Amino acid sequence: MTSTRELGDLTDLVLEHSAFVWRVLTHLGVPASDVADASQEVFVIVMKQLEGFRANSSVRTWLYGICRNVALSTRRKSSVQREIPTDVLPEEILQPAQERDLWIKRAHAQLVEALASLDDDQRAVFVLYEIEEVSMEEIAAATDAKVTTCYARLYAAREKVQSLLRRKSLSTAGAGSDRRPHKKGAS
Amino acid sequence: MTGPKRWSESGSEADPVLRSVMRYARSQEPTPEQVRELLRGARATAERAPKVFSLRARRRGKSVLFALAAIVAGGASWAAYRVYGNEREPSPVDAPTVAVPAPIPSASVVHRRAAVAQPEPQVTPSAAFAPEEAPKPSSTVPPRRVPEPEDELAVLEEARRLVANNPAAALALTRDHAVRHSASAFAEEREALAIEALRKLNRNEEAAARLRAFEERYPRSPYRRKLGVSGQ
Repeated sequence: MTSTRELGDLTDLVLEHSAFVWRVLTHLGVPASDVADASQEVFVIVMKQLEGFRANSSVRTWLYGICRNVALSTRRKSSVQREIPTDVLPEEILQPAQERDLWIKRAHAQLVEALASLDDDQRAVFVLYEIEEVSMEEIAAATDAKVTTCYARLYAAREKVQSLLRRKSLSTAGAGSDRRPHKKGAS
Repeated sequence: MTGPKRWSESGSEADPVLRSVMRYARSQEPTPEQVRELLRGARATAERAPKVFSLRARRRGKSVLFALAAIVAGGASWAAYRVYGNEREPSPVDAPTVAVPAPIPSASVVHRRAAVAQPEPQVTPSAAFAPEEAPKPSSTVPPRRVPEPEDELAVLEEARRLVANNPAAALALTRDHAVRHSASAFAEEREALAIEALRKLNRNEEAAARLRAFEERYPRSPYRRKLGVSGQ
């Protein structure tokens, strides 16, 4: 039986973390048309696992783990359905004023595609650090890795993402070919 | 250890194009409507999923109740016919008057009213939780409309928004919520907000009393830390 208290917890979690869940699912390659359903699935799992959640660990990184599993299963389902869901309108009916919107959406789609090419560890660090702005110490605790290892993963992920985006001509000069990854602790 | 600047930050190694894309990525989030939908769906699934059996049991229970109600109603009709049936035919004018429940106003209406009607009746800690008790059966009171979760959420979200700058209005909203949503699943949130509002209003004694009642009722509440309850 789901208690009132648990439903209260669920409400609080949804209100506080729905944006995080939404973004993570988006950047883990869940098609735009499936993000709402996948988010709901995440919070249902959250409800089931709430009792086992350690209060001293980070909610966001815990949610990230759930999102990763849900994203994986959603992507599998989507590929089986062979749908091409998109919320980007076909180019020919766009007005000039919409061009920038279209451009940024496409560029973002390319970023998501590039993220899909990373391995799980690199993707986790990149999404949590670059997009969710989680501290590296928190990421390290959640992934059970050293902070220095997480930085190494971040630099590797950045290099790969930049390289892929350059190939698609998204990133202009200055983002990369002649640039080395940051040294540890550089700012 | 200070990490490298994030790509979305000015002065990072990313070029302006990439920076814009990262900022766009960061801006992705559900609309308020999508959040409400998400909450409604998740709550419905969470309530339903683990208890197929109990749902069946509930349906069985409902059937039994309907059967009992039908028997009682049938018996009452028969008795009424025995008493009055021979005197005259019932007319529509004689139909018992049924009180129509007042419509539940939207959050904005509640808010406006709360902002105007500032005098706050004293709510004792026990009274604050009283509406959560199971309603007593009564044949004369029509059943209340079951509130949609989003109505409640809108009110509580508004109270949450107001608590810092207009605690009196926030408190009025929580009181209103307690009255209108008697068996609410969000009573815990409401009480936490009410305690915060009372503190902001420097009504510390009332806040402390309500906090004690809150602790008793929700010993494992995630709000305890926010409310400064020690001994988690």
